[in-house]
Amino acid sequence: MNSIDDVSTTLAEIEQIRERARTGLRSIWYPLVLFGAASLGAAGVAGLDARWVSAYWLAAWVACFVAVGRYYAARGRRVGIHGDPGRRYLRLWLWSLPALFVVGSVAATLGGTPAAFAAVAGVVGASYLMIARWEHSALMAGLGLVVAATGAVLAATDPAHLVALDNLCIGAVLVVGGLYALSREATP
Amino acid sequence: MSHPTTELDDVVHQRARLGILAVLVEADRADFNFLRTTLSLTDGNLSRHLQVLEEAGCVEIRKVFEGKRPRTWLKATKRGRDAFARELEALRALVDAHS
Repeated sequence: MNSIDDVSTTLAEIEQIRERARTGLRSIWYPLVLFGAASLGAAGVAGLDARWVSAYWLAAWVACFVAVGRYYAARGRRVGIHGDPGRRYLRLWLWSLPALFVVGSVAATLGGTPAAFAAVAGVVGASYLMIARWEHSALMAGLGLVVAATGAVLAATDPAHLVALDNLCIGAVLVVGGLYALSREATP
Repeated sequence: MSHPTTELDDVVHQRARLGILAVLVEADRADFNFLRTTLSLTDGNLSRHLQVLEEAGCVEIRKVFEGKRPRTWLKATKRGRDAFARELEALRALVDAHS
């Protein structure tokens, strides 16, 4: 590196290398499809008996996080580069589960079921925005906003079968988003 | 105020070694083959640079068997991450000083 031009070139090359490493690490389709499928499952449960949805989500939430952790570990071994998604997802899980409960309960007390829905959708959307930041993914950020907006719009209109409809819409958005991400995912 | 070049670290400043650390600071760990392909280096060249970085305490090298296949995993140490961050800062300062 003898001249300023060389230094500038080196800095640009470093950024390209870092981007290649991030491409090797990035894979968002699996958590999207998995959580989308879980949400569609919740819509089915809500259709049968809405009282079981919370218990269903508690179990599905744990199962999805375990499955996502295992997926990233296996992918890291295959591709040859491991990020730190396990610890990140664990932190997110530890943060989001109590947040969902507290925010949902407070909103339900203050504004009833529609307010609780809007609040929970906001927490879920914020979780997706947090993942989007780790993954450097505009798609994930967009989906987070769509999830939050869907919950807020449904809560505002308060239609019949709100629980089932909310889970159905969010599940469909996530599955479609996940399949789109899969179609665009670079093969390292 | 010191000139930005005084902040450059001889171990990290070399282009291939800077590339190795650029990959490793993004990840928890990467394997030898991923680094070789990403940086377009030969086995011998990469090994030599890794040895320099390991001796300087910038990377940890772990050789394991996965099934019957040997595999080498590399991880940037705290010292390696700090040295990489300082090097980038020095290079950017150098560019800023001349712009």
